[in-house]
Amino acid sequence: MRRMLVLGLALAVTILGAGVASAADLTIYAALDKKTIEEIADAFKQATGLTAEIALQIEQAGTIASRIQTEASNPRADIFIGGNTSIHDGVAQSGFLAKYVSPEVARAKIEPKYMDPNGFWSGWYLGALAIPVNEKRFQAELAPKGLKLPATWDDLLNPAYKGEIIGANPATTGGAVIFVATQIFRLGSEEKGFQYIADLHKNVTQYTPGANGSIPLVAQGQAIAGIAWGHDLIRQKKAENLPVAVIFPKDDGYEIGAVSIIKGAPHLSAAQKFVDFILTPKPMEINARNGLRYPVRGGVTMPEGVPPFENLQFVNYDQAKVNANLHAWLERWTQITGK
Amino acid sequence: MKRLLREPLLLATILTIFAALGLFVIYPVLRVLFYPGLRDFLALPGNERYVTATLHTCVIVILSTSSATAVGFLFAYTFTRTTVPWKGLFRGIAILPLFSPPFMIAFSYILMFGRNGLVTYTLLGTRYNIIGWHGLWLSQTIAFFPIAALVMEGVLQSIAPSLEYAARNLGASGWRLFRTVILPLARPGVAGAALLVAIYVLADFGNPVMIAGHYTVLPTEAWARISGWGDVTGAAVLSSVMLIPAFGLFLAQRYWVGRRQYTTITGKVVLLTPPPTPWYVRWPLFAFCTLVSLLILCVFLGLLAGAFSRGWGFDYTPTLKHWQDVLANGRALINSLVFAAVAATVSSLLAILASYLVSRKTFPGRALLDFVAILPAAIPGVVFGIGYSLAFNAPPLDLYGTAAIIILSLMFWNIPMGYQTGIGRLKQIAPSLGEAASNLGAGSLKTFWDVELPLLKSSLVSAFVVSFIRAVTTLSVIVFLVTNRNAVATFTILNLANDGYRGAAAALTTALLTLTCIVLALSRLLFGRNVELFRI
Repeated sequence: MRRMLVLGLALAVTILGAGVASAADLTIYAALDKKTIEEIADAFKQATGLTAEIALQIEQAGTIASRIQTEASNPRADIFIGGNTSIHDGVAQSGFLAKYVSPEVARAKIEPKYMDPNGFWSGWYLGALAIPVNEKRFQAELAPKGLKLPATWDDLLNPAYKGEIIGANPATTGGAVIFVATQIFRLGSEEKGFQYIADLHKNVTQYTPGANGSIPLVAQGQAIAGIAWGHDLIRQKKAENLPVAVIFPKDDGYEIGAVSIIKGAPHLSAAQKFVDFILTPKPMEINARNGLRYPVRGGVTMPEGVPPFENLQFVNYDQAKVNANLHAWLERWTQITGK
Repeated sequence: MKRLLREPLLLATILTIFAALGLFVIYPVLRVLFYPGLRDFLALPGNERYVTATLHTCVIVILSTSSATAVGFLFAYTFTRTTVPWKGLFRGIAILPLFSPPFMIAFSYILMFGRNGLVTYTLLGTRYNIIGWHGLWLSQTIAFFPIAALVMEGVLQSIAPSLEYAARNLGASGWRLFRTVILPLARPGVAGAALLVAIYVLADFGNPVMIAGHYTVLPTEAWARISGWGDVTGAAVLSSVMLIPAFGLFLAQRYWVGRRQYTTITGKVVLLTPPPTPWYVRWPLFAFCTLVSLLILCVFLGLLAGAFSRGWGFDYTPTLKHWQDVLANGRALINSLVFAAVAATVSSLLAILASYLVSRKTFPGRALLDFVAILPAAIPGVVFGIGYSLAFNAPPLDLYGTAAIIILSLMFWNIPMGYQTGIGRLKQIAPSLGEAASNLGAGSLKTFWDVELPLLKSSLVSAFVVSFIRAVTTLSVIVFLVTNRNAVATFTILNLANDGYRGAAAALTTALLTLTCIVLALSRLLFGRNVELFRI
């Protein structure tokens, strides 16, 4: 046995001693799905000749934002891509991002509302909220009562949905904040918006911690309807053939997906080239095809099965108002739901 | 002290162990504790969510600990002191939950007992909702009773059957025998098991994140702060709160189990088979063990259903397509096994060495070493990971992106497993053997290597096994340390589930569990058949 131990220890020392050196021209932390970011990195190499290493890929922008913070004493990555603007704002406010405004914004005439007024992040895609409905349970249980698939947010208030809707918790995910804000903007006042939240709460069985928590649960039939990101929903539906209907309701809310440069980035000039590249049609097309996220500029072909952006009806979303009221709204939401 | 100076090698060993634990346990934890400012801590009582999570945590710790300990006791009692049929089979099944990585137990229970569950709806036709505190209670009971059972099995086994015969001869039987002989003798074991389970429940993240619904607990709340908002400060504050009860529990365990010594091992084992169990005890125990075993098998059936069917939870057409993703992620699987094997080997050896020093040698700082060696058990995995990320990211010790940072974190996070085992075992070995070697001129380390270590073989192996399983199945420790280049399987499983490939996630989990079992079987072949793999 002791010989085994010595052998094991020798092996351990060998493995522990093995170092890691990255030879890539750029290091990326990505809160996007694997396929999308890998294809974007390939396209970046074709366009610029620069190699990009995807050092971290996980579809939890908060986890990446946290790592940028804990690694701030000696930053490793250059680019933080994916995740919505509120996460990028948070990292910027804590002082961990570097300012960069790409010349591509002016050249391609991208609408300024998609860019950070402070210059820390650049919006490059849009994602819309959607309602997944478990088709089998809906047809079996609600269709006989004369219900049609929901087409508006108000349709979810029907008492037939009692205990059958899964929402997300704004205290733990930015996606749910956008949902709450959407109701406020749609109905015109905080009062009416929170009245809607209170009414909907009567039908909600559960608020998940993540924005997409309802997708597997609705697919499995734990509830009939949910609220999730449309692009993730359609992608997952395609990947696993989920038995859910996907509805983009009228007066929909949306997120702006961002890319930003990390402060102290080891490869600053390559990082700036990457941001320039991200704002060109090619990566947006890749993102639209795999992640089904809408581009912020024209001239990008959308894949099949995704409603054209023009067909969706959005609320007039006021990010500044959301930022200013975030704390108060979260408190009010907690008071209403007790969650 | 003078004796220490006469043995420079021993002194060097002690200093090395102190340095290692200081650098890889104390330092990272302090980095986390000092990450938030004082103001962040003071704001804590005003945050309603944090207060609620703290209360929930207290309640569920009490509930799940009680039930897991009770179930564990009944299982341990069945294994050791009864003639219940199939008890070997029950023991085999009872070990299974130790292998389940986060997410899977609870998700399987939603599949089985959820609103649209196979058992609750398809079989029984009810729309029962398992999500909530009761679901959490069930899945934690199932997840953690094996730990209680394994701890108490050892204690119950060392109660010599001769005592039971003696009590019978004196006229005691049935309930009275159980209450006045077995139970008092088993009490330190029960307490030790309960406290150990409580620590596990306190730090549990995988079950509540899936099945607790609104019932937020501290680990899930800390995780949500990170994954939802990138709020490291909030997570650090919550984790620090968690350290208080964790310390309390651990100190209680040291006090209770350490001070009292009920069982004496005389060295002469009396090979008496326990008297046959009366039918009115045998059959209820049999029914109970069957029920619990079915609940465990449900989890793994759910997992297999996910791995081999087209749509987990809605389309049970058999398919092998998810296994392509498993092959594509072969690297992550291999990483998991190699990292865990290396970490567990060094960890168990280091831990056993530390336990030898603490129980056999006197040196200044012995009590401190004792404390630091059990400290990691009280630290939630994610805190450990954040600490390593903060501490080893810049020179002089820059380990970013290396396999070393993952292995070291797993190694030191698991030290208490081996340490506890070693301390317990050394209490049973008479010090006279070591003293004899010492009288014959052997130094302390030679005595350890030539005399004590062979006697500690079984604890070394069990320390290795427990550390290995924990290292393979953890997610929270490594999520702050991996990069794509050295991703491990649990990280990939999380990613697959996040990306919507739940079938592939189930398949990869199945592959991971299978490979873990194969590694354990191989280690059993290597170390000899007589080694009991599951002894805590």
